[in-house]
Amino acid sequence: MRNTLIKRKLSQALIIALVVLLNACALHSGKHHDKESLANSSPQYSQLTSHQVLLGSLLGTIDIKHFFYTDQHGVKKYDELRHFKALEKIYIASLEKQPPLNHLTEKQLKTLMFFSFYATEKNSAAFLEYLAADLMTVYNSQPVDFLQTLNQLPFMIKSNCNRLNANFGFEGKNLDTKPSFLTNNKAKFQQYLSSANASTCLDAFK
Amino acid sequence: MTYKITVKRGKKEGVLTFKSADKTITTPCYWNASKKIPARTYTECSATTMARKKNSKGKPREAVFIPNVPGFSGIFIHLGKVPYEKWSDGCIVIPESKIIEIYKAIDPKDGKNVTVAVTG
Repeated sequence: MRNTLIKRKLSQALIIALVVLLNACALHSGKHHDKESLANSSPQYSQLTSHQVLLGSLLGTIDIKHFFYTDQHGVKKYDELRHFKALEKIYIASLEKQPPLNHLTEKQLKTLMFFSFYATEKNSAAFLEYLAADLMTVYNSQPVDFLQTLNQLPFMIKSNCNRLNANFGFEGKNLDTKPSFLTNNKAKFQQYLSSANASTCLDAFK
Repeated sequence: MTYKITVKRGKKEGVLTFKSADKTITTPCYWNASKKIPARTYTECSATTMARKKNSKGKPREAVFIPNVPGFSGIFIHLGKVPYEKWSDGCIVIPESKIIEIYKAIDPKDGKNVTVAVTG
């Protein structure tokens, strides 16, 4: 009887310790994910960091418990709209320019580039459309940062250069500006991307 | 309350019809021919907004979200302008006045209370 009580007390103490540890991890993680934090979001996915949501979305390892709704028959189902909105929140945060330089950090650029990769792999119409408008603006604002960052991510070159190219004609805008863009930027691509990466990128504009 | 949207696609243009208990809205609709979502009936769709895109008044763009589309994700019915098909990477596009009218007619928002039947 006494042993059972001791075991129960120990179990309770262990659970409390785990909760404290997880909270500490979440707080620590939050320091690195201030802008992207989902801490104020709905409780189902508030424990996930932005990068866990991004990677889980790409790999399909997001647990239904993080994005679910209960249908009219009381059945819990995966909530694709809620999942989309969580990703959208991270996407928007990745476009918020940071002081004091009023530019996007390397981490934000990498997150955006990941979105290009994700949207291409998952055929995400909304994010492909968002990126067709947004990525060129980011590139034009920080071309050297953009290319130096992209050069670190060879597996994302194709999807990101595809989204840069998608800007020409998207929503009926910039229909005739591709030739001048290439004239003005081809040398930059070749300077800041490796030879193989520049070639892959320029192919996306053909 | 549930709502029904039918999308009858032709070669380059289609007809979208929205029906509720007291309202019918009909409009031309468009899509990206190289990214055509499968023709089928999609249940538990929702009126919602797209936070990254704005309507002509600078407010989040009104839309209808379509879940469980085979081979795609992030599919919406949302606004577009001429050339309509250039506003789509898989989404279905209709004039702004019509999507706003449809959005306002659906209640609640994010309610999984819309069925979208796509043919053609």
